[in-house]
Amino acid sequence: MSTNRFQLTEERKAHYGRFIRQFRNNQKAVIGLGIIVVLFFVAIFAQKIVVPYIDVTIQPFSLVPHDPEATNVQNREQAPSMEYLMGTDNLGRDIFSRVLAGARISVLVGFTSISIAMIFGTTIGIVAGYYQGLVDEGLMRAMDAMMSFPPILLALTIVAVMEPNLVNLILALAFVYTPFIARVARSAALSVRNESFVEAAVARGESDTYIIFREVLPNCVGPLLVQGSINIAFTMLLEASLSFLGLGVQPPTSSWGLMINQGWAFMGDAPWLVFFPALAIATAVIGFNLLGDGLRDVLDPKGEIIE
Amino acid sequence: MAFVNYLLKRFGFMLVTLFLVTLITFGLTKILPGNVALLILGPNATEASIAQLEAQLGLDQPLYVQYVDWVAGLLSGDMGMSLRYNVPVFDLIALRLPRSLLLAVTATIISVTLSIPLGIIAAVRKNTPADLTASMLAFIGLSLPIFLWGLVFIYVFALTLGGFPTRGYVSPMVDPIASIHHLILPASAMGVALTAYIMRMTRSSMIDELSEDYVEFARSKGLSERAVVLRHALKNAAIPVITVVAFQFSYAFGGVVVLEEVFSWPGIGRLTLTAIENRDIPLLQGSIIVIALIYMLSNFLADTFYAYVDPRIRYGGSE
Amino acid sequence: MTTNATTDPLLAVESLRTQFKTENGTITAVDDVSFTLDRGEVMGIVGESGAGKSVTAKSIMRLIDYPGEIASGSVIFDGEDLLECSEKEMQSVRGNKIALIPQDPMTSLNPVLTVGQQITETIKLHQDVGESEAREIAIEAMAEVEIPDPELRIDEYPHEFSGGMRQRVLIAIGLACEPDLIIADEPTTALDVTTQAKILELLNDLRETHNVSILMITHNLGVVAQTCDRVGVMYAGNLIETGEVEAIFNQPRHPYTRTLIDAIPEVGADRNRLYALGGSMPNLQSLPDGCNFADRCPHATDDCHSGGDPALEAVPDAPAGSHAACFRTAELDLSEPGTETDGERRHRTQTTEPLLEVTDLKKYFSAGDGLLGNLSLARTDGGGLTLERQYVKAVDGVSFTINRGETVGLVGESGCGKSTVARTVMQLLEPTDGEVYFDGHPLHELGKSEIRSLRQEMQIIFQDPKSSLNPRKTVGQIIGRGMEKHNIATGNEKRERIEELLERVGLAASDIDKYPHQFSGGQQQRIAIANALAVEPDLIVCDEPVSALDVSVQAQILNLLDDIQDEFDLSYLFISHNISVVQHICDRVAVMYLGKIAEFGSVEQVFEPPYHPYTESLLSAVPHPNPNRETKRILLEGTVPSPMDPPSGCPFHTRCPKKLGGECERDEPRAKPVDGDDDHTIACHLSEAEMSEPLTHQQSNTTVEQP
Repeated sequence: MSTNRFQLTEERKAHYGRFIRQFRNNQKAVIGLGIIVVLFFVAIFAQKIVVPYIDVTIQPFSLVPHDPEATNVQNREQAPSMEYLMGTDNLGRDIFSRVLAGARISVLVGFTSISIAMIFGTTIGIVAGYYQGLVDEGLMRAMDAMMSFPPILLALTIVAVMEPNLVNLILALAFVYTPFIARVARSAALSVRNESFVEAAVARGESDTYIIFREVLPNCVGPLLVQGSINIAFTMLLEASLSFLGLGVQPPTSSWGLMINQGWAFMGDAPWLVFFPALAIATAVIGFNLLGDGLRDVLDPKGEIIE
Repeated sequence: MAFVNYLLKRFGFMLVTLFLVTLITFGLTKILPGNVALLILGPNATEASIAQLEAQLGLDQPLYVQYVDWVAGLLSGDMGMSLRYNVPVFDLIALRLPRSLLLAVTATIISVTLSIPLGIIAAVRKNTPADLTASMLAFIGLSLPIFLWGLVFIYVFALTLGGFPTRGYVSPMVDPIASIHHLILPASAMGVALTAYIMRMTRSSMIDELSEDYVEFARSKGLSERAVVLRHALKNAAIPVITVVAFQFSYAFGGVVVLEEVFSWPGIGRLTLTAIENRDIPLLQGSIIVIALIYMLSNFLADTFYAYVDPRIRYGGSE
Repeated sequence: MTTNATTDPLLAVESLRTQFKTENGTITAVDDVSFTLDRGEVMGIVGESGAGKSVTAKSIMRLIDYPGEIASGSVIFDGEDLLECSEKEMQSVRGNKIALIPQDPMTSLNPVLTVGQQITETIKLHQDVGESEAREIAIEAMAEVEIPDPELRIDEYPHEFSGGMRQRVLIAIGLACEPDLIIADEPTTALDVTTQAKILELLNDLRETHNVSILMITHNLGVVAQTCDRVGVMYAGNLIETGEVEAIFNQPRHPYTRTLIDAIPEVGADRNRLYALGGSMPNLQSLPDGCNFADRCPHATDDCHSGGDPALEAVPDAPAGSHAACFRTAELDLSEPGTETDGERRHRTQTTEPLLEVTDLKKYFSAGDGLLGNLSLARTDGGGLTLERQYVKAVDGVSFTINRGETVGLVGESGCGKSTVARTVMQLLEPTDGEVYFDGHPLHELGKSEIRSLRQEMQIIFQDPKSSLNPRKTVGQIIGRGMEKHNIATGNEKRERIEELLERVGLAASDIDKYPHQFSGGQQQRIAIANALAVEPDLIVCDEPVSALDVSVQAQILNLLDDIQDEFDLSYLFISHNISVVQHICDRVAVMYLGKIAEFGSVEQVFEPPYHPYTESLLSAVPHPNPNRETKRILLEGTVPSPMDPPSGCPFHTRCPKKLGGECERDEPRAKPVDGDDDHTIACHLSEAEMSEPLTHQQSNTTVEQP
């Protein structure tokens, strides 16, 4: 028995080894993943972590050199220096600290909303792709209808309707991106459905649920990962745009889009107010885009990917 | 006959989608908190006058009756009265929409003329420095939010270099030169993001086509690489690109909402923002349904063009 | 055609080596290949997939793309080394002096250009002619390859042509500039057998009229035997034997050639076990030390396993031109077929107890996709517009039985509905109409859950073994799932049984924890067989189980299916387009055409006169891997009609060489017993005497193909 266990791990290694090797050889994927790891690290540890509902505050160490929300009017619009790496804003707040703190919002919004969209989108898409016919027709027309609104407009309307706050923002973005995921899941499911092993499963007497979740779904992971990664990049862009319009997260929480919104008026005298948050957005988005591109090279997914 | 059949089917799909779009639009705006009648009459209104106005506006009716009334209105071009401006929504949109179209169409034209040749070159010279440079630029292009491109363009071309206005719109009917002058920056800013997407799509679609059997067969006939690319691969590669261009055109309409704010461009995007800020439901409903309609129409046009380019659809066939 | 030793050869390939760079190192796809081709000669390059034959062809035309590159060697064509030419010079050779006929007619034509545009572009490129003249030449070329109405069809798009017609277009493009050499890369592989017969006939004719040399790349020894003067056999990137066709077939000089010939089941031959080698072609990344074939060679000695790969050298005491790359070629006599100790086909326990009874089975699909997809605007006779709902009648009234212990074959060309029959019988597709009794249970009346529990008794093996195994599961998980599902075994017992099964189908017990992608195609098909056996079924539907496999592997799988039949008390429904395979493995066979059964009976009855005219055409179209065998091919007119709009009366009447007249167009023939024997039925209006009479060649060849 012990030899069997050993063999199992060996075989699994052989199975996933190719993927890991190709991933490691793909510069885009590695750089993208590197950026994302740093981003997550910053997002988690930049400030104290307040666990909601049980009021526990954790802070193993602090990355921010200054309190991101502390104003100091004497120090306003300082150019970048050793003390203020990215300068200070019009209220004298340290931009470096605020950029680090803003990572949390960006990651939280991007990651959570796409996770929700993945759950709904994948289910809808795979069910549509597996059953085809009327079910497919109905679900996909609904997805088409949702995709007929430009994402930003749809998100904007939903947030405005439900009042702008973090939770609503996340829900709105999840709603907006569900059809994107669903389309990809469906096209992947359609191609997997044509594989003989699905027919073999039917011939074995498996239930639809088993086939959908155990045979079809695991083989759709590739395109879904790619699309998910690209969509997180999208969501981050969208969050920035909404915050820029004042319909994203609300002050005093710092978000990159909001910082640009507030800094824009001072662009002429203190361009760093806009430059550094913009750089942060670009870096984060590039990270997820790189990962998506790299994964696409490595996994070579069969289904469509929507950019 | 096959072509007509195809178009009829596409048109049928569009109508179904349109129906669902009206449902979503209506559904979304009905969740809006806030009493419309109260908004119109102001805080001093009496309950009786509110009830009276609600009856007058049909707001006391069941939802489905309101929906049917609304759709019937839409069909006859009656989108209701704007609460904020107190003029018909239709008139407001009719005035603003062409301005936004001007912006979006210009941006699309700029990006298509740039991106398709770039995409072809990148695909043909795959993995050369030219490809890597173009691909990297495209990558950066799509990794910045569209409003930021607007800000960058204003900062560089208007504030630093000078020579372009930072904001505003001039009608081409009034002063064509000034109109173009005002148009260049916002259209280019929007064009950057679109160029990035279309270029990437052209590149990957072209790479796919270049690995097809008919391309190798064309080479085996003795055709030069140039002829293989331009005569054989390009037309096939164009087919998926058309879809992307149509999709990106509607994406441009999303961008319009933010860019119009950045450049103070009085189009339908800013109108929508105003509607949201003022909880002007009829105006909001009207604007988003018009924008969705533009998306669906551009997709339908793409389908038509697609069918025209691809003889398998134009003449029907075995596959 | 004989070679002329006094003139230089048209093509001399010398020490050609083509390599591909991959992330796991460099693969040498073509390794030190040398051969010559004379003017007017037809030479075949034959081998299994991955042997390097297509890469050789492309290297000659210098069509190797990154990451491949021609590493060394020379290709002397008409006195000039093509590998030394500039790309510009090469372009004036391609399509002009050397033309390629590519493999897949469905993907090799550009879908958005008309056929005319694609023919004339070659002509305008290489000849100094204008548009209208080029068009005339193109029409001529189309007429020459027997495309009807070339003046009209020249402006059509590729999708308006059938597969066989597209292949003709490709040939017309190849001929357009009167090349000296045509390289035909598997020109008939993608085609049905009756279409293949017509294309081979055409190539044979053209070669006479144009005196062109042909390099015929193929995996099919039958094609070689029927078309070539000389042949080269490739294995793992090497050319391992060359010689005159007759010499090669009568007395091969390399053991691999012998086994290739032996592995093919032949129509009309006895039905003993096939002579199959174990294993498969070695991976090009890890070639053995000695002879590449040594690991599988029945004649290998210890010396063969070391000392490098043997070079291709002239065989002593053999007809001129015989070369072989074998250390032992001088001492071996390979003129007799190889045999296995267990050569006899084991006794079969057939019964007359019916297991599966199918009566008047029908399956219609709605044409097009989606809710509105099958609706279509059409003009009525009066010219008005109507909406029509269209159906594809894939299976239209099929009846047959399978007895316990028996193998029943369904044979027919692509689109005849044979796979649909299989799926409908198994209730993987819901039948439109008809009755299916399995072991006495009326499947057509049962509910979903009852059918689910019956599924244990019927299993299916698919054409593409790679697609039939879930890539995310281990072999053990795949095979074990069925055992768990049907409460056959769990835990350690399950594991033991899986290991036993794996060993039974010729794999190792230790393969249980591997993933499907770690196996070759043949091994994957063995796993699929083990998977089917796991639930202890009574019936296994084999849907083209060997079509995706190379001949030597195909023989292994056919032997395995044969061996396990008695052992596991199995009945087979065997679906195949390959008549030789069906004839080899089946007891009874049904010939299908356009959703209906044309003829049904025992293999002996069906493959002997009296025939249904379609059976007769099918049989005559098979290219026999035997150059001595005279074959008179019946060339069928036109193409298979669309199942959306099948012809009235007999479905075959539009192409039948023995058509009687109005009767065939009007009345659908019913299956009648032949010679009073209910076990042999033919659906045809002809009398038995007429069905027994052989067709003369003229009779079948007088009519030109209709579009």
